[in-house]
Amino acid sequence: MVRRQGDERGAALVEFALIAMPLFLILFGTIEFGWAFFQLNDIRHGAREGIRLVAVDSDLDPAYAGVDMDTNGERLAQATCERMDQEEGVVVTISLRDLDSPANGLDIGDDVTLRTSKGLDQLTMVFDPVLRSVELDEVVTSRLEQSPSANIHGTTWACR
Amino acid sequence: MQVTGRPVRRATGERGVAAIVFALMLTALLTMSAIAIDLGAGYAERRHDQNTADVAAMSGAVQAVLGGGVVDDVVAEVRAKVDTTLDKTVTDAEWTACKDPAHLELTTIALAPANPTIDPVTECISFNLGFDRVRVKLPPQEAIGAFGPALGFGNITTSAAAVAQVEASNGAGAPPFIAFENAKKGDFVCLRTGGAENAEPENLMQGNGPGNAPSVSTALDPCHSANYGVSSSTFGTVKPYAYKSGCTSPGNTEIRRAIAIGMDHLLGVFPGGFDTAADTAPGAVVNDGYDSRQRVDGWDGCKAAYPNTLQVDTGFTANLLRCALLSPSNSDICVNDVPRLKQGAGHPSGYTITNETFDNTPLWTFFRRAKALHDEGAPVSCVVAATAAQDTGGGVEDVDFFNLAKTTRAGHYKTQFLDLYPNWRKPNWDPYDLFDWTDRCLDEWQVGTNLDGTPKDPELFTEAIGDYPRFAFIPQVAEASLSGPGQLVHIEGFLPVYLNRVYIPTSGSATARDMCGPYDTRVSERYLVHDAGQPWSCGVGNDDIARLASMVLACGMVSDSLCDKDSNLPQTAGLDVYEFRLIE
Repeated sequence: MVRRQGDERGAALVEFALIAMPLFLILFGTIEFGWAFFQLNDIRHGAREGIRLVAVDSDLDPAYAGVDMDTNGERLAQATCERMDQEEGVVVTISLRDLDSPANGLDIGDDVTLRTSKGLDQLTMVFDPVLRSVELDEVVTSRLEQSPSANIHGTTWACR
Repeated sequence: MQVTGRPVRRATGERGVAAIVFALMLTALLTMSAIAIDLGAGYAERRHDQNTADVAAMSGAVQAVLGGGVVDDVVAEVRAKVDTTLDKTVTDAEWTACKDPAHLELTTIALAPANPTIDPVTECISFNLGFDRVRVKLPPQEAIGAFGPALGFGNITTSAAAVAQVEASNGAGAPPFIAFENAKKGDFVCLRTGGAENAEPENLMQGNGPGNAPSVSTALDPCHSANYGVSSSTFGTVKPYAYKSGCTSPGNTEIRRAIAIGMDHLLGVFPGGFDTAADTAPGAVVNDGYDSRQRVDGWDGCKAAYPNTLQVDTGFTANLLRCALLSPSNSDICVNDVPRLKQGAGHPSGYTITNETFDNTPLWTFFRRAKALHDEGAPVSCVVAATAAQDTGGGVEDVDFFNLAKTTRAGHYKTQFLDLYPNWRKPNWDPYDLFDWTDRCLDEWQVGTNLDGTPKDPELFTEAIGDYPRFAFIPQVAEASLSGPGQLVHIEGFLPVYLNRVYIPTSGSATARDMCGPYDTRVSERYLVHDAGQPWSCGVGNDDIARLASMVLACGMVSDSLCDKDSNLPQTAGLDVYEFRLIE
């Protein structure tokens, strides 16, 4: 009896078990949130880059032409993807709005909106029930500085 | 033994230590995690803020140019883009409280008295004096952190600032040509040569006729870098102060023509126009009642009287030439514009100056806007507005011109033109418009005498010349304002000219030089000289000076963006030359 009371064998295991749970929660949480913020920053950066590409109707790598990218919008979207570090799973959408009245077609000065979005990618899956449905997105609207190439409006492109 | 041993054990017992250590460590871990996560949120918010400031500043700059420089609209655009990108409304209170120690010269606070509807009134949206820079500083934004508030530190606050600048593209946004405000047929314009020993600009202009060879080694080229600081990167930047009218100043030599200075061409200019004796003196300010802004009247031929300015070193800046040749999106702009073509017998009257009847239609309606008319089958709103404002006789007489021209000649022009320059086809521009405009000049604009004093150039009245337009409208500036570099010069109006001769500096326009031949026999060391009507074949099929002139017109007066598709064209800075650059 006495021996049992003073016996500390296994205590470390129990204490570790008690400590480990919050410890790992914190550890994984830090990792997960850090990763999430990295991804959030990444798509925000991508949106910023992409909106500039579209606004100036950037000249794109000719190599894009014909590689399953049928429109200039898709090429611009893919160029946006390539400016992100973790583009896998990112969807880029481009839409334009004719601000002239009466409408006379898309032109310099019209609004262009570019959205980058992706489902949150997890590393540890510890918080999966909470984070599973989280979607990151960034929407930036600017104005066209060059006449847009055809077929940009309505582009939805999954990064590859 | 066991009993007595207990106190000792207690004194050195370690039970509970783990809990204490755990508690301490947990606190430290939690704190560090909180910092890490909240900092992450802060950095993410900072990135978001920078996106917001960037697009707001850039959009503001775009609005400043395309919207005609109405400051209220620019500020509204900035605010709208901030709200859109942040996906929330930044309140008036936030804007008012916003501080920006690095604001530009004119904050909206400073602008508010003269612009009572400006919104928001804040230090954090500011402009430079030239109104070609927009600075936006975002009111502080809170990054929603996980732990900061819980630990009593509150959320991290972030902000971002951006400055967008409107720039001329190609390193030089110089106007394609200039002339003095009072230039008219037969005027003398002097080339400031800097020394009598250097001065033979007259020869330069006349080519090397018998005994009159161009003094290619001495005459100054205003585009020449050694004289006026034009570098290769800014080639074509015209230095208008290199020119001077009147011929009394030492070192100036008379040129027996009014001249215009092209980006890489010297053009013999044939000022058309009309007797202005009974008109308001050039430069006089007239308020004609329908335009609250003052306009300058006086030179009637094709006078743009909107008070524009140009920067002598860098050309047009910001909103300065919006009324002339940029495609306006605001019909109000057109209402206030007055370049007119003389109205021919086939069209109803529109506007009368000194017993001459003018068309009401602003010239630029024949560019993109005319295309819009064509596409939409609807009247050009600005033409209607202009007519309503100016036409005392009533009626909307001009809206059908486009269709009229198209059905008569433009189809022919268009076919030929596009055969030559298929890449010029742009989504919102159509050669129809250029040809329609030219066509109208040909039909209705009466030209007096040729450069040599002979009566009207018969070529002007043939249809064929319409294939190769030789007209341009060049900005007129007051000579007195051309005192030196670094200034803004008021554009007094626009002068209709007939492109008669083209000089291509052999030192500059290598592309044109190499592509074009055989040359005129008067090829000099320094200039290729081409007169109207003389055969001249460029590699791309430019077999007449007039075709080159048409390129100058199109490149210089319509849109710079048209020219980048064809490297054989003279690369001039046109009027759609704005670029927007984030400089901070």
